[in-house]
Amino acid sequence: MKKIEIEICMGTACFVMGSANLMRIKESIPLEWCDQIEVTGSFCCNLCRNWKDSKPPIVNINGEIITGADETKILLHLVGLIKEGNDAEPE
Amino acid sequence: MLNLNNHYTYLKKELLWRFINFLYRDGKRSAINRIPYEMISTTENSRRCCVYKDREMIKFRLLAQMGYRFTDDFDESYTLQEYYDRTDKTKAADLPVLTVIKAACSSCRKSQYHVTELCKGCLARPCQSLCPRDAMTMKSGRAVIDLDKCINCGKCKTSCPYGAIVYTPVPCEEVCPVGAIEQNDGSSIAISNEKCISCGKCTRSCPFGAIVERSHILPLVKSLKEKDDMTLLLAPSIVNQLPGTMSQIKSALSDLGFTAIYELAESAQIVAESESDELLERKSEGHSFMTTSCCPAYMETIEKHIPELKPFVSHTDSPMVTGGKIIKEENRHKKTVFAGPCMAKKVEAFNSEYIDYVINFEELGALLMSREIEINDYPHKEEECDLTVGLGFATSGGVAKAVEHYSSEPIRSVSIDGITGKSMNLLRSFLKRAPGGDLVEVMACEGGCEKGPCTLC
Repeated sequence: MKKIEIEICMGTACFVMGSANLMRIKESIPLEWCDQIEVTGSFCCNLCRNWKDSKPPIVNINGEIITGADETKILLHLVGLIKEGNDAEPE
Repeated sequence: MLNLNNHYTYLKKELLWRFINFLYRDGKRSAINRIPYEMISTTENSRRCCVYKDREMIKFRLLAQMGYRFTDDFDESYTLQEYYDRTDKTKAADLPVLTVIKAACSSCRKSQYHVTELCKGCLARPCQSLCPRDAMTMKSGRAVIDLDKCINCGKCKTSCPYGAIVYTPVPCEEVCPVGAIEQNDGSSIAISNEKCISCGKCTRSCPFGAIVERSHILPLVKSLKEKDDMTLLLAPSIVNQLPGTMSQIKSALSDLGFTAIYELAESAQIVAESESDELLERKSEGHSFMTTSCCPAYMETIEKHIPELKPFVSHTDSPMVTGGKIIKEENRHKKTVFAGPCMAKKVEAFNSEYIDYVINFEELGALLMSREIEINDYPHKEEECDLTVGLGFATSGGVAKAVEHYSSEPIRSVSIDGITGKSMNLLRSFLKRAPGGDLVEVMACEGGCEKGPCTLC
């Protein structure tokens, strides 16, 4: 199965608003999910310039942008993706 | 203490960012009145009773950023702009460092044990038989604690097989090592200035964010805008607090408008060397031990709570003051700004002629965000000198290690990792029975400065 890619923005604004701690997301998810996801850091994605629609920290999961990201938001998103993956996989 | 990334810390940093944006934008001064409305929209779910209270609390937080102190007779009837106009923008806030936003304080009731509805009023009643003060009575089939008799020992809680007894603490009181939190007539807490050591633990533990630090950001931004000759003294704990390498961080900070960046790891090495000489000298004079002096919250603890220990504290200045001295002796018109994770440094700076402003890492981060400075965009340069020993000052045990590094004789050290009621008793006991080492390193924050109250990660 293709891994779920979590790309966490490490630009100044995202870092200051909490993205550094999100890099350790693997510590707070179920162990069996860990080998299904890949966490990487990225340079500033320039989305944080306008706080109105996109608050930092910004996280990109399989191409979908999550703004104002925190552990809960990422976890909720992962639950959906992993369930989807499991359903798609033939028994 | 609360986790580092919660709704309150996010709000605090967002507020700083908006405030600094306002300070840099030379537009209408009335724009400051809009900040609470920009942050809390009517459609948003309020965190308190209503959005109007949420906004009012933002106003008070902004006032603390301007350096205001909320005394009993504080007049809250002006608008933000009126306060802003009245503020002396050239002066850094004085002492005390901390102030309480009374309306934000949830007026937690006294720490107590409480029997919940999970109680089954069982036959064995271990809570009743174990209570040393006979405070447990039964009323309509459920245990009830007589709070006049209860001494908060917690035996009932641990004995209940149903987990029916809970403990509700007053979070700020719980973490304050010196008993400086006073319950104020049931309406809000107050901080006793005679007792407070400005460690900042309460600010990080209050779930309502009611205890705030009075900032120096206003005079600092003014100086930055006017391009004053200013040196930023960067605490060793900066490592890992911002993205990029040290050289990238330094270039980025220069672009904020500081004329020079001085790494305090450098003066920390001077301090460690001087403390190692001092220790050997004291030992030859017959002293049994010496404690470090770089932690300002510890120095406050000595001053206010354990003055008997004063003769054993090192006379060497902290890395901040040593660094400030070097800069000011070169040119006394230069301004010096300390940036670190610490609140108590404001007390030390207030009492020193060598430091003008103190800002914390949250404020530094917000400044970079506001100026849209991207640290990763700067080229990385190799460091000219090795400051590994000095950088150790940020971590518990690191100061002792640095002193050992420079000592010509072997040193045995004891590390006090975090000031708590317990460790204060241990410190007092050293007067009667010398510690098992020559050097006692004391850090008020558990883990050292890098775990200080104003850190970013």
